[in-house]
Amino acid sequence: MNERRRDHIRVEEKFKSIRNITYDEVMSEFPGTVVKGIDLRTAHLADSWSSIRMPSARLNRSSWEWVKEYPYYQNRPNRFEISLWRDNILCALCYGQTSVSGTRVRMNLIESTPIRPSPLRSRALPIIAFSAAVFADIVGADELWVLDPDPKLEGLYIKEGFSSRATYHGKRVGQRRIL
Amino acid sequence: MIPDPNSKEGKEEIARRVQKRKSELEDVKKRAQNTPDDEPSGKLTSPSEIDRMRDRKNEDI
Repeated sequence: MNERRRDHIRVEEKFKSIRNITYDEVMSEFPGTVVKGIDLRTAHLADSWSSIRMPSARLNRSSWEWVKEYPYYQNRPNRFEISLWRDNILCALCYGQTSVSGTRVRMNLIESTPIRPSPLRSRALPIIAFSAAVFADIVGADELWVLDPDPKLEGLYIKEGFSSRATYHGKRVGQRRIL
Repeated sequence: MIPDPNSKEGKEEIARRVQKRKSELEDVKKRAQNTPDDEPSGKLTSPSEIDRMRDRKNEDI
C-alpha cells in the first residue's frame, strides 16, 4: 500500500469518527430519531420517493439522483453525510463536504420525505442544519453554507440562521451561516 | 485544526466544541417541533448538472 493510499485511509477514518460523534450527539438530543450515514440502500430508498404521488409532495423537484451521486461522495473522506430515520423509515438525508482549507462546510444535496404526516414527527431541516453545524464545529470550520438552495426556500434557511442568498466562491449561489 | 478523535486531548476538545453548539438546542428543538407537516418536502437544494459535475471534480471550491 503506498503512502498516498495510507493517508486517504487515515483521513477517512478520522472523518468517519467525527461523523459518528455527530450522529451520537444528535440522537441523544432528539429521542426516537435514528441518525446514520448514507449507504447505497439509503440512496436507492431516497430515489424511490420520486415515484410517490401525494398532494403534499412538492412537484418542482431537481433532477439529481442519490444513487448517481453516491460513488463520488463516498470517495471524499471529508464529506458530511447524514440520514434521519424513525421507526425504520428514512425521513431525510444530506450530502455535503468540507473545503480543503477546512474553513467551510457546505451542504450540497438535501431531501426530505414527501410523506405526510411526516414519519419523523418533526421538521428535518432544523435537525440536519444543527448536525452540520456540530460537524463543522468539530472540524474547526467557521462557515456553514447551503449551496444552490431552492430560491423559493430562502426564508426557510434564514429561519435556520443562514443569510440571504449570496455568491459562493464567485460562481455559485448559497446561503451562509457564520459559526 | 481538527482534533484527533482517538486521543484524550482530542476527545476533550471535541466535547468542548459540541457543548458550545448545544447552547442553541432549545431553539432548534422548538423549530423542529413547529408544525412539522408544513415543512416543504422533497429536494431542498437545486444544483445544476454543471454544478454537480464541478462538485465531483473540484475539492476546494
